Amino acid sequence: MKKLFFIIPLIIIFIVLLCLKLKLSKKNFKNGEIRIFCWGQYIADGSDGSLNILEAFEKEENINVAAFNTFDSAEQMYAKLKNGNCNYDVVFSSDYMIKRLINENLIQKIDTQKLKNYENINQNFKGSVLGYDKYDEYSIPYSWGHMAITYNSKLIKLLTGIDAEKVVTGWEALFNPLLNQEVLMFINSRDSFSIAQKLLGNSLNTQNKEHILSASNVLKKQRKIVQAYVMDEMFDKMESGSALISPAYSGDIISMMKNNKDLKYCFPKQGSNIFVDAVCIPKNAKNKDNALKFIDFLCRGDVALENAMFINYSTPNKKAYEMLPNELKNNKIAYPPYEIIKKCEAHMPLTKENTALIETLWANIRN
Amino acid sequence: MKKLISFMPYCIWMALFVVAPTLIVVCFGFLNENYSLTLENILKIGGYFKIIVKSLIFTTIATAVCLIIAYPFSYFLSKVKNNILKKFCIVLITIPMWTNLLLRTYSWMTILEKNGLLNGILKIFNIGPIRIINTPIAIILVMAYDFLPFMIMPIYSAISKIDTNIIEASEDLGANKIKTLKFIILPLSTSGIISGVSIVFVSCACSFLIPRLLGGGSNVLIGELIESQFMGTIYNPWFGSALATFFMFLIVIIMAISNRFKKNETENLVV
Repeated sequence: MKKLFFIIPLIIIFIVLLCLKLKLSKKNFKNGEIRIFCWGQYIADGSDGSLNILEAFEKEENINVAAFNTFDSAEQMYAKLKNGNCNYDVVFSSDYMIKRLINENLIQKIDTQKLKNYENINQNFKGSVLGYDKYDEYSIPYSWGHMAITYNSKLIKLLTGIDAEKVVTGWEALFNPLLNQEVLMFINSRDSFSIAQKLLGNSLNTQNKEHILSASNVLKKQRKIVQAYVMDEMFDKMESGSALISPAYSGDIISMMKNNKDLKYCFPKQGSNIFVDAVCIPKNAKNKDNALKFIDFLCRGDVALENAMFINYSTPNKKAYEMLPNELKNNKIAYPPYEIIKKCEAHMPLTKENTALIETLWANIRN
Repeated sequence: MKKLISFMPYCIWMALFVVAPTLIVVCFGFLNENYSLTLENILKIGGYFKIIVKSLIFTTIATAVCLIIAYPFSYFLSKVKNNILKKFCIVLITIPMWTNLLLRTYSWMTILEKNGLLNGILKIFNIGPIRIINTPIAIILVMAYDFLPFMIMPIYSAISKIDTNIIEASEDLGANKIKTLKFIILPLSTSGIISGVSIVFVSCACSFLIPRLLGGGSNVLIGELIESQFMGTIYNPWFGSALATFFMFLIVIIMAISNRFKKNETENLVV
């Protein structure tokens, strides 16, 4: 009998919870569902006074966002897509990865005729211009940025006795023995090799074995003066002054500079890498029409503005750019002049042999 | 029959979540991109000999540090008569485990950083900044810190299970404290030591976050190497699986050797 006193309330609670759950999920969306795969923190989610884009989309189009999953790197996304045991309708990807997805037949063509807001997208960042999507058939640009150098001007002056602006003018600053143990470097092989290639005056996408080997030698020599190979740990180390110079992505430089006023930005004179993240539809998407609706929604000026303000990276959306607050619109880091964009190259996928070669060389350098 | 039924849930669990995934990993290790049999992946492991040896060395040192700290502590803890104090100590040991491993590792980064907490404190006493972060010392320190509770718990329970009569008997027969420890307590707690060592060793060997965050990316260990095969620029789950299989094999051998050691010890005591 005593046991019943425990069991009955438990059952009641369980049933109530079940009903609540059913009620919550039964929002009755007329137009089906959509499944989205995206970087973490890459769509405005309502925090920090932003608009919750997914909720707004649900309301407006009456489509249920059935899944919104996130990944940390384009490689993770690729691994999931390649395995084939996931069904997303929309995926976000980086430029070089889009090319790879096209080559391996993992994404499908997008009918841009059906996108009312497609004309908002700036031509400069489309795949046909930068080369990652030859006929602009597979991808719709979502955000962009470039790689540059950030450095602590006060502490570099203190350490070297020379004005930091004179020490840091290009990629060679990352290889300067004066800055021994103060240099950070990217932990991923591709970005680090790109820096070395630019220093040597080669293309980022060189497939020449000799170029790759000489870049590897440059990086091997650099190893002695590098404090650490990092990714997101960079923020802490640069903001606290534990490291004095680091290559970084433009959006990250802006947010680091907000937290430490001594940090400065330098566009390397040798040129750099421009990257575009874009939206694609996987081959096995089940709700293609809804995916198109969602992409069109993202291209809308006001929505793109919300997202651009949220993620700190630059927007390729012309309408959203016009609506940006002046301080951001005139920010030379987020929206550099066209001469600088022209000096940047986008990453293309390397051949399998070269990718493997770089990976092995990189593992040996770091050890 | 009843025994069989009570055994079933565990069997199903093991089959689904341990045996099947392990088999898949082993199979993948012997396949290539086109899903045909190959030994290529296994042969490629030789090229990463240095990383494997380095991982084993770091892991062994971290395990030894854990053991050196944990054994005396567990010994004295088992001697504590006050029950409240004893429970309090045990709670203190387990408190770090209530926090996520990632958070703990990140906090160590802020402590050991060049302009971090430790160097800030040392600066007050005019001791120059010391460089710990991005060195093997940082990796071993944090490995030992993270997995210390897993060493203390089994050793403590082994020591506290020892019959006090045996200890009293040895003292009655004229053995001093050190002799009792050496000939009675240490052999009787071997099982605890072995299980502690195996848990800590395996956990240390497989950690990839600690070397990555505290080693500054220039101390690649086996865990990070395997991770990079699945999630890195180079997508090679076949080689990653081969590495994982090889490392599992290596650990099984090490465990088998240590288990043998355990058996011999207990047999001696029974005699």
